Amino acid sequence: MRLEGKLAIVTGAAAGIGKAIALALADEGADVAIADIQDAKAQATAGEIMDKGRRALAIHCDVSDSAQVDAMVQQVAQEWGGLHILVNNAAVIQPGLFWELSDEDWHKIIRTNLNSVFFCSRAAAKVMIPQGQGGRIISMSSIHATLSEPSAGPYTAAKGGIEAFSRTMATELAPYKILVNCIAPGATYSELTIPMYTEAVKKSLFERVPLKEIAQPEWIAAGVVFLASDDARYITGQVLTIDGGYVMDGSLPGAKYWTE
Amino acid sequence: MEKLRRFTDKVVVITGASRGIGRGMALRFASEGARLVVSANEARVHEVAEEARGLGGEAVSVLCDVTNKPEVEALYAQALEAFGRVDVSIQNAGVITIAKIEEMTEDEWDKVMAVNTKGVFLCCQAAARIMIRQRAGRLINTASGQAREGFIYTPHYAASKMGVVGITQSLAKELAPLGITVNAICPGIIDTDMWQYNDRAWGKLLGDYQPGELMAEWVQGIPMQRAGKPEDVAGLVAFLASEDAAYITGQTINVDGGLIMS
Repeated sequence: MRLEGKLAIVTGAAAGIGKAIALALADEGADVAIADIQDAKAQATAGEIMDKGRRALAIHCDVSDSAQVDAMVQQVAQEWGGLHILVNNAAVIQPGLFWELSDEDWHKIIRTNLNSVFFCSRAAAKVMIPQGQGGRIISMSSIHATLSEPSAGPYTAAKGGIEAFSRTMATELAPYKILVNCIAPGATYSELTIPMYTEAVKKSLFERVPLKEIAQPEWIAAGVVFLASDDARYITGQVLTIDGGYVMDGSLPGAKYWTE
Repeated sequence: MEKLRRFTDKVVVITGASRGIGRGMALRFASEGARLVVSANEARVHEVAEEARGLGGEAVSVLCDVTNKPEVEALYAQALEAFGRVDVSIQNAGVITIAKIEEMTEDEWDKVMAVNTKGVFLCCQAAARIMIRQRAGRLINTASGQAREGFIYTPHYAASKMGVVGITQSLAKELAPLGITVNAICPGIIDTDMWQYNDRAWGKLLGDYQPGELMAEWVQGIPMQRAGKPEDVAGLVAFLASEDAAYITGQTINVDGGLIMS
């Protein structure tokens, strides 16, 4: 129970990796608010958290809308009296060779994946700073911040932006003991990705992933728990890559699974 | 907060365990129930084994010069004799000198490269032989902030630590099919005897610094505004050795209060 008494928000936690993160935080003793647009699934996940004996909130929130984000964070801070952990997990994808993408294709990804990190982190920082108890902001990046995957242009821009912005946030928030880090998952089973992992894609992937597996969302969640825990108290401004060895600092061309 | 006990009966070998970060790692694993083989090239390591036993762990201590292949092989043979297996091997032994390029001796270069890089190779080799037979294991290598960026007056140390990252990435690829993960950590400015030397040696070369003044100035540049403690580093290493990190390999992780952000 490494997170007993902690109050957490996880965006996009109705399903997939976000849900695994929310449940893992709850297992460690945190109360967890889920901010998502998939209301029924968010309620179900909240129910699972409450079954563990923790408090949970399912809040309808489009994280690309700063007014909704501000209201969501305010609701948590007021109902529960504070906030200690923010996990920026909400994301969407839009495959396509970049010159074939529309303006809206680009904006949709940047709004939901990158702007959301600014909006949510800003709102969270405004609660955590005066609270004076330190805190954690953990954002989901991706190996695609480093890999040059065809057809993933706006997504890689957003994830790269999240990593760079997290470093600035880490520097600005360090005096308040609010630690800011990213997790970069590799190939992981989730709502977004399951359709992609055909046998052909897996074969291509496993040639590049030394551990020759696709991650379960729980393996990613375990990294989030570590970064949220006291054992990570001297780690800030970093990216923790959980990918079976797919990307080791290099930006080798990746398996082409977004287009197959 | 409930205490973690993730390493009951797991056998953990740690080199450079007589002081500083290595000792901190040993005490952390001992508190989580591990069976320790602590090693160093000085008799002080026997005291660390005593401390570990005091925390409820089992521990044996072995003198070993990591630049000496027969001694390294004997270290791991003793680990097997004592405990029958090696689950985690932490290649942590490291040395530093600080000198201007015009004055740096060949001996300094050779010594730092031998301990910091060849020593990591020799220990990984001996540990890997055991772990390959087990089809399971964790190798964790202590690199440094200087594996990310070379500091002044230490071209040998920077080269040696960047070499550790190369070893880590290559072995991660080779050993993944055999159930073994390999990762590196990059501690920043950590409150240890090594940094007492660093403070004075860099201080003499960089200006009119009294003991402690240079390190204090550099610590001001760390976003978290403090030097790390060995316990801070041990927390990361315990995570990397745990079940929770089974899908993490070939990675290099900074534990440095934000000094270098990678």
